[in-house]
Amino acid sequence: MAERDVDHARKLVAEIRRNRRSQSPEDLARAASALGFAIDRSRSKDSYVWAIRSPGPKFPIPTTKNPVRVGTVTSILRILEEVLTDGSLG
Amino acid sequence: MAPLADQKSRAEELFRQPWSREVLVDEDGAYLARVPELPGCFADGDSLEEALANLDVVLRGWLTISLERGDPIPAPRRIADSFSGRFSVRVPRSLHEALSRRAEDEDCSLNQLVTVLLAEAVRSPHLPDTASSPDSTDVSEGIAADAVRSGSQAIAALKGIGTLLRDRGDVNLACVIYAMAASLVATVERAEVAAREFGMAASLARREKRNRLAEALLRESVQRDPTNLRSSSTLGQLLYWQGRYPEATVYLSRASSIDSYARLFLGWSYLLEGINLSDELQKREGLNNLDNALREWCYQKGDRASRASWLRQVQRLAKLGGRYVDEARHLVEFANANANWGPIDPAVVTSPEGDDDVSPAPEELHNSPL
Repeated sequence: MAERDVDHARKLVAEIRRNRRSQSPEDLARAASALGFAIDRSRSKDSYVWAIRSPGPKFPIPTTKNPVRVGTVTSILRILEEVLTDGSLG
Repeated sequence: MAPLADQKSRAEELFRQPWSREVLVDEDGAYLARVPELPGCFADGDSLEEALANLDVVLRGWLTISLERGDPIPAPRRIADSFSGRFSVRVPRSLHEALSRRAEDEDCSLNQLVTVLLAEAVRSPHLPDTASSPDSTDVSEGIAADAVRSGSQAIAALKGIGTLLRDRGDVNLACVIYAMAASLVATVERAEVAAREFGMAASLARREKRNRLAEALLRESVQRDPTNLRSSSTLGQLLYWQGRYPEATVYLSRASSIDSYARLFLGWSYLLEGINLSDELQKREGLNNLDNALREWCYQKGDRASRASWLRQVQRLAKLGGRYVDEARHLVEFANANANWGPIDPAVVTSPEGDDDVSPAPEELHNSPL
């Protein structure tokens, strides 16, 4: 991953950390994409999209609630931060 | 790759495995359910049922994706470890609500509260005769460990221990632990928050008639936040019942403009101190406050339930004799014109209605809906 992309991803994650109560499903999907997750919109009858990283973790992003509930945002943030700090971004 | 039908049936088979399910309540009161064995397998909901139903959908998806990608799938923890320390219980909604409210009152998590209550319940059947002895129960090691840490975790743990002690009947110790939690609160929150915590500890002490302890806690509360009128009013009332009228007026006067109880006690404090010292000015001040409070009482809360308590106050005033009898009669006239409890014969201010004891009981006064 290019340095510039990592910086961009870092900014998006920082934004989620700052505003955990006002994250839309799209915001979360965007941050996940920036960290190399593929966004799979084909499952769960529109209730969720899946962020899948190969190799690596996967998690659901609920799309029925906007903004996404703070507990879920916190769980997602934890995964994104782990990916960001595990050094596999290049 | 296995055929699609095989994968679906394998996913369904895996889904039926005894996965742990953990439910947490988030900062906004919504429910977050997760399968702790499977990273990234979580779902939320406005209710426990909704969160768990959503988790089933996510779990199926998580397993299906893992099978498709050939990701490793950990074994359910219940197989690997039968006593993992995590289990889910379905409880009636009313019980869930009651537990959540109590956790909120104690400012600890639902998880911590339930842990304390379960620990207590598991031990007590084996120690029926020693339930109130100080060493009959012990807090869990996890809570004790949290309690000696710094910060908010310690506050919640100390409150949990305080609750355990309170439920065990160790009121003094419970108050000490609550006060320790309140002191810790002062290190991470504003003084007003700590003052409220001291005030809540004082409520317990007062309810259990530990007056010296309640006074110490209330003084701490008022000292940390002089604008805490609830603590000021309660401290004033406590001092009043001990006959410490001049001290009582200091605290009651702070709250008297918005707290009718405080005004009533302030009135009595001034009046009785004025009579003690033959100080006409204090007597007038006392009568004025008392009159206002009693008029407001029968006007605002003139229901039948508070009639007897109100009347006892008026009779007590009349027992002081002289002009106070006239004042009591005026109050009855006012009540007859404004209260909803029906007419009172003005004659009863000097001859109680079928009750020779006209002295107001402190408890009765505390409970009166003024």
